[in-house]
Amino acid sequence: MNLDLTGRRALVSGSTQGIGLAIATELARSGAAVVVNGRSEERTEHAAAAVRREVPDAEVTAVAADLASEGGAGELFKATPEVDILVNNLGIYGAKPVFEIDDDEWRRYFEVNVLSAVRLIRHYLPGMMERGFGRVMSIASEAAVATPLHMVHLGVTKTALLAVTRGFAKAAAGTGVTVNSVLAGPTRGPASEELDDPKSLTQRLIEPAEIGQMIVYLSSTQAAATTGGAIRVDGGYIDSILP
Amino acid sequence: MDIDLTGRRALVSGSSQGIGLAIATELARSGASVVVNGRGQEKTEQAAAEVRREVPDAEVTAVAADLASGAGADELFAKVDELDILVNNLGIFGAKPVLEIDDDEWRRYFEVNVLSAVRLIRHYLPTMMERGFGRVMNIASDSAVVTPLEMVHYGVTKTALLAVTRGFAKAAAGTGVTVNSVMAGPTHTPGVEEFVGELVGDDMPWDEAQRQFMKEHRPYSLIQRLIEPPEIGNMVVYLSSTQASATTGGAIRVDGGYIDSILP
Repeated sequence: MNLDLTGRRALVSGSTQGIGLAIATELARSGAAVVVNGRSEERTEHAAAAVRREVPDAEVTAVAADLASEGGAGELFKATPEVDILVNNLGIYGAKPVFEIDDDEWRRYFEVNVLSAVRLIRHYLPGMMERGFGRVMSIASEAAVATPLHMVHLGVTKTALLAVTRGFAKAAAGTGVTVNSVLAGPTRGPASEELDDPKSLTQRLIEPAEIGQMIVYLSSTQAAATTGGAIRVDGGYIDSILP
Repeated sequence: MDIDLTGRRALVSGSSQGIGLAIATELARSGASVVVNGRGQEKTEQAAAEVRREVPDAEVTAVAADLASGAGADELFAKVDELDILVNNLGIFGAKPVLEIDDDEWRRYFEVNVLSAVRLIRHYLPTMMERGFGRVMNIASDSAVVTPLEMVHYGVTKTALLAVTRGFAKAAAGTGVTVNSVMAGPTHTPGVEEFVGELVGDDMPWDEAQRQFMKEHRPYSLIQRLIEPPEIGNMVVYLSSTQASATTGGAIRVDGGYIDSILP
């Protein structure tokens, strides 16, 4: 089965490193023209160069914009008015005892992890619906299902993303556009040591490219009947039959 | 991204028609050698011929065996001792008021829809684990999550399959083998056109008829059309690939968005 994304225009928010960069790379490898995004001009250009190094004939554009803010999203919309594939990967996280998370911190997590995705979907989805093809994917995590005690605020925003996904999937019903979330599990980062957690069924860290590969599959025409769902690339980490 | 299953040996239970046949065809199209299976020799041979017609260079074997029984499974094991990809697609369904389903009917549904899958997994999983690669997929449906009033027994067995999946995925932890279920939604299978015709009339072109059927009778579908069997095959091909190595123990949707829940 050949998954060919040639001619598709993709955007991955927060893609200067890690999972976002791997997603952008895999999309490019399958032929999509990709917009990489980060806050700083320099780091975003670096990321675009990294994609080109990996996929020499890739069509990659760097758009530096802080998508956590409305102003930043406005800059992006000017630079990139339309996309066929939107991957909401931007997100923040950090450990904090739940009693110490104040209102402003809660608001910040909501702004960055939820509202940034809502804003991009609201902008790009109507054009996808008119054209009769589109793919929206939001990167959630196992924290969406198993609220982590040491970062409840993160968990709450990831849970919220599942409902954002389902809601916009309904808005796009019957149009040829699919909207899904991808539940990532513990993934290798720049400094991560080996995973020692019995909950993981793969018993190893997930490689960022493995998440990118599911994104490529969900972006394909072949995946047209999967929408409104939360799809696992979690190494079996979530100990539940659902999802 | 090219998904190449060349060199993989696959079996699809209950694959003489419909979703099972489409899965077998898509696996073959991506290079896997495929065992198709049904109860009758003739229908199974016909299914194999159909896969070959669709994929001329496919390596297809027909094994007729009634996998609803332990004896039938043994016949299969005698002919096919190892697999890399196992798709449990065999299943029965039928409408019946829940108060009228007697113990024997409950047992029959359990035997065919659950135990047949358990038996094949129990047999084929250990050698997959030894070899460090394997893919097991159980075809469940939206009924696993939304128990349908008109066939509670069917829904119960599909729910049970999700737990079978999760349980064997745990048994295979850390071995390179993944075990998942695929939740299909309303699908364009043989017989469905007649069913649609009965409900919305048969004077419309098919595309219009199915859209009206979905609107009136399956309003939760987000794709607002029936799923084509190869679309389920596509997901099975993806999950069978090396690329899908981090997805295990899960229930993956190819339901057209039919299940109105954020999970799964």
